Amino acid sequence: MAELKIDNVYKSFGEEHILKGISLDVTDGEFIILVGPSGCGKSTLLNCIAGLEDVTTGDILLGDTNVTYEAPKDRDIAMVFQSYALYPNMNVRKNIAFGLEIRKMPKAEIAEEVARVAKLLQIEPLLDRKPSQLSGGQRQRVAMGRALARRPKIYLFDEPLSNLDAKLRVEMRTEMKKLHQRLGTTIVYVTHDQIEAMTLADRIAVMKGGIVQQFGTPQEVYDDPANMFVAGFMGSPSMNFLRCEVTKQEKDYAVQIESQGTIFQLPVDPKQADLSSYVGKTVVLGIRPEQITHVMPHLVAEQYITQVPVKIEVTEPTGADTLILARINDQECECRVHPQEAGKVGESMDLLFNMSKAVFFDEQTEARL
Amino acid sequence: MSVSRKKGIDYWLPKLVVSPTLVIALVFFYGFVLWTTFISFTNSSFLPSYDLVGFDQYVRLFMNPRWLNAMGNLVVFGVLFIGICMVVGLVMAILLDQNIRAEGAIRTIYLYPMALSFIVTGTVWKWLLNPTVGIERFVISMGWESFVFDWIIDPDMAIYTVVIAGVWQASGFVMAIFLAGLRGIDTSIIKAAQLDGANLFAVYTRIIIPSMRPVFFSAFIMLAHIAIKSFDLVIALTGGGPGNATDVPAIFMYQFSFQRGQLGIGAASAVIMLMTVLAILVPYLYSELRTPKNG
Repeated sequence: MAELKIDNVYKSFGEEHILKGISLDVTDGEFIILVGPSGCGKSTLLNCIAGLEDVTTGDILLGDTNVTYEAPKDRDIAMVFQSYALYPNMNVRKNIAFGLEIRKMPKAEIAEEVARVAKLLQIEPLLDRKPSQLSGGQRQRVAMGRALARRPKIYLFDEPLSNLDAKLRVEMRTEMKKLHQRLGTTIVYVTHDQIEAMTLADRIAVMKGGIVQQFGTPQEVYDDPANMFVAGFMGSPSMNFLRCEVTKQEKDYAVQIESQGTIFQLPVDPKQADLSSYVGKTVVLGIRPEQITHVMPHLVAEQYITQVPVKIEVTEPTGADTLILARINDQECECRVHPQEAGKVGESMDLLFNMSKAVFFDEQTEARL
Repeated sequence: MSVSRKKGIDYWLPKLVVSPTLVIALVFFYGFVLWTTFISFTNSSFLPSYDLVGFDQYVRLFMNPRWLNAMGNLVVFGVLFIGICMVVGLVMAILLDQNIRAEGAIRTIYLYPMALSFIVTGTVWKWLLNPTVGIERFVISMGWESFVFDWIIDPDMAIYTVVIAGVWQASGFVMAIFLAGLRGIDTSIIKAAQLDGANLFAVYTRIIIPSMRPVFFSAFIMLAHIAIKSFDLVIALTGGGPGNATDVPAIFMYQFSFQRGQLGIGAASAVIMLMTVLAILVPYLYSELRTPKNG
């Protein structure tokens, strides 16, 4: 176990710049998730940490040692691959023991370690099988077992759950979280699935175009996104972005929306943004679907809540909630309502817009205001 | 209704197209295999006869020193040819798998000898190995006057010249087979092994090569049957000589059947060769075609 410090790392392949100055500080025992769309450089960064790729400039520190120029085997890092990368010619026991044998650990200790890991991951009955005889979930466990066996300083996971079916993925997600809570190891985990990122991480690094857009706890990233990309990437269904004009009210500001021909002023909480310099201009209002709900009497009177009738264009029942697609300012807007309250397509329905968590972005720079 | 409908051309055409091949294969391949086997149990000499004499021809065959010599040569040639081809092919494949430039061109160069017939290979190597015009002459003309490389005319060494020519021809092909096998291995396995602390040598010897067992098997089978059937290479290179020094079973069979008028012994030797090929092929086919239970 150790801290990991990534200091201003650049990685280029010829003229193609993959990582453009990544700096991350990971404290001991933290579960860090690198998340972003494909091609954002997250897997490259992970390979750089592992030593499978050389960095162009910058430093990687593990504990107190600078490992930037060390070979992968000298870094004391374990990695779980998306394809699991189990050695096909060895049974599960040998797969787990291989790294220990290479490091010349005594036979008795290896057997003990394999037994410990097998018990931890409940793969004891599989120890004598070959990888080809295992199911996807079992292979995944073995791959994790192989990483756990060496007790390295830090664990790297490269999209470990993406080859599993949806149900198993959710199960393994929970197990991985339990495992981390039990072992308290430092983990860097790459995924493109923002739900995995939200549920597993202590902190999330949202990446795009070789740059870390935001590095923070899941709740920070969700409630307080740094820019439109982060806001749109995290959360499902994703945040609504509505272009609307800023107006000056008596002492505060508001954004103006139009629904079914009627104009409404949605008051802006000054804690969320200072829009004084945007009066009369257009900003992007970011409001999550769960902040637009059906009418709940106890909320109606609150300061930053506005009741707006909208026309229902599409309904999407998910069971727990029903998602309603409405048209606001001639833009699509998704709203989350209770299934029993949801109206029918084509009907008009009153919704509550809760502005207390709304965020605002500059239309051009897409930066947070 | 549709059950009683006449079967149309769609039904008959495939069968019609395949049937000549089937007939040819049945008559000229399996038919003559059976006929040869039958002949080997008769006292045929110049012309086939139908007087059965049991295993007499096999007894005469294995009493014949030329046959034993040919079998001995086959063992020497087979072991060296298969072994060296495998090692050279594997090493070339591993080197070629290191993401090098111009890999396609190099691969083609190494694979090219396979496009030649063994007759051409044999003829070229006959000239190269000929002491008066080939490599020996070349080195002497360069100034090393005492240089001797006359294996091809040395009865004790001539069989090794066949090995050299055979390896030159077939190792590129073996390389291509191994390269395909190496490409089938997930690169993250290599990365995982590196993180586990293995150096490149250990990665290959402990993981990659062991997991290529089926590829080794295929390469072995292909080389083994080339070795057992080798005839044209030896004829072109040494003609079986000097003396009978490079005799192989196929040459023995040809000479006894068609030149010496001892059809019975020739047939018996052909059957022994077939049995040798089958002894290698059958376990292979068995292991390949069997549904895998314990992978």
